[in-house]
Amino acid sequence: MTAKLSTRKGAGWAVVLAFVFFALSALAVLLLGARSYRALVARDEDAFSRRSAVQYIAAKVRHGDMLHAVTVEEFSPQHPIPTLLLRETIEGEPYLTRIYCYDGALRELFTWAGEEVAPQDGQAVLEAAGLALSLEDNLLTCAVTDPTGQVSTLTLSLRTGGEVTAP
Amino acid sequence: MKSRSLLPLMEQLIMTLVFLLAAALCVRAFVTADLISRRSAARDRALLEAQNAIETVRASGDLSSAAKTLRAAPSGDTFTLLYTTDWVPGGDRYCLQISPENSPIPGLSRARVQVLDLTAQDDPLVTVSFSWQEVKSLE
Repeated sequence: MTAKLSTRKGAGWAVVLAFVFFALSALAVLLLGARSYRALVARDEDAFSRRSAVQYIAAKVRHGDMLHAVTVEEFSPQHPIPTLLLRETIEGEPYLTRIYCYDGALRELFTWAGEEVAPQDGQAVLEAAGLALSLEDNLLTCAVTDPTGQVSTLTLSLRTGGEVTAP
Repeated sequence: MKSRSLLPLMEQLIMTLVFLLAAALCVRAFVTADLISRRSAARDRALLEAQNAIETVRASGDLSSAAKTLRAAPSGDTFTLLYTTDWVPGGDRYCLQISPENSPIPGLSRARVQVLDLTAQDDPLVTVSFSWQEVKSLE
């Protein structure tokens, strides 16, 4: 009678142990899956924000790449923020598109060239911590710092300002 | 009586076994997804670096001048630029190679940019062939 009771008790404990093992395994797989998914999403978001910022600037420059139309200047004497300036003439009037980084965002501001503007007037396009610009020998370099501090550098060769040499 | 008391245990063990088989498949899928995602991120970044190199070559007009601007090391006809895991120049994880190609059209130069992951044995992350015309400044 005692032996039968002890066998039943042992089997009971084994069932409990098997269940605990099952539950822990299920939890481990679930946590692993969640961690893996979180890492994938974070990597995708990082790639998206990195690509969007530089490709946005590339698209704007390609669109406005005319002779002497693309320059790198300061936003204004009062606000010495590095600014990418794209000039165009619409119905005889000069207009400017300014692309710059201000208050944690990459901004775009399109105005008539003579208009007095402030950096906060621009439309926030993307989150960014900084924008460094340089234009040398028709080679435009833009370094965009994202909110996490990672820097993406884009180099663009301006198509205008040169002529093809005869073969 | 004894076999009846072991029945729940058998059920638990079979259930755990089936679960472990399914879990092994899931873990393998997670690892594969992670590898694909890492490679996609690296390819994304490699494409940006390749694009930068191409634009530099186009602005410079020839490979040697572009290599100087990019600070790429020459080895024969090919110019090599090494990067760290974070794509900072000067590491030993990724390698960008620019090599000239023959162009059948006079006045049109041609080259190929390849970005390799030096820790992986598989295909290059990016291979792009491009052409450009030599230009002189209008200034």
